[in-house]
Amino acid sequence: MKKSLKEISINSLKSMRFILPIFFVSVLLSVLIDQFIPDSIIQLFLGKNFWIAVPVAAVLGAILPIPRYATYPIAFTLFEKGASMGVIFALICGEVIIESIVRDVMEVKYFGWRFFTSRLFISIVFITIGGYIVAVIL
Amino acid sequence: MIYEILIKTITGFLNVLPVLVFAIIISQIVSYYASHKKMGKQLKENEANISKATVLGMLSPGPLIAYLPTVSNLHKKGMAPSLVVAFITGQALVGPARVFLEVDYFGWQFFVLRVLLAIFIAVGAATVFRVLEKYIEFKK
Repeated sequence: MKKSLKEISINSLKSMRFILPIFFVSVLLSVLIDQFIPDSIIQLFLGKNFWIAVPVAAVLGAILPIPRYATYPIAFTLFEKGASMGVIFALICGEVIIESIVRDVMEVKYFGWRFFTSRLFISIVFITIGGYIVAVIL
Repeated sequence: MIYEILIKTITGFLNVLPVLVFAIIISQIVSYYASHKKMGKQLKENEANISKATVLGMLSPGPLIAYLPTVSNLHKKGMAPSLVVAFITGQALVGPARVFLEVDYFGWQFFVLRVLLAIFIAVGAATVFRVLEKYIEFKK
């Protein structure tokens, strides 16, 4: 019990040391988006035109180097400013498909380029379909 | 202006900090008791089933990078690429820590819908891979 508690505590602190500063920067970015990007722009590009915005959000989520969990403050601000839920869904799912360069390099090393690029492309297609479903339902 | 931005950032960060810390701790607890070795063993025992591989992936905590060597070994021993895709995609899309953050930001409805669609995405991608396996040779 003591050993497990110690290990969990140490690993939690290590995770926090990495995640908390990144999350702070993410909150700062979301505040900057809130201050400087008008609601009308978000509603125009990420709200009404969700048929185009959802696949773009999926691709952007995948290619932008957003660290784990850091998407949430930014996605929430976009949602509050008028982005469709389908776009938020696609952004969050896109972010996790390619989480970090290190992980991607490992995946290529273990499974090859064909596997990695095929999985990426097919996942983005299905995330887009999922985004459309969310946009219609919510 | 800068002062206002800083105050909003600090306030926003402090508002979500308890949930984030709680999410990290829960993630580490789940990681400790459901290690990647245990999950790898479960994956091996359910090797023919895309849906089970997807669910195993979703239940597996922690960074995917910890599972890649185990999954790679299973792949070399004959596990189909479609099952690798199901596991990796399921693991990436959903995780224990995300529950708290997503519910806090977007509500239960969004989270439940995202989990259901994550199953659809992982199973769908793996099914397409099952077709591709017949025509493309993936590295072993």
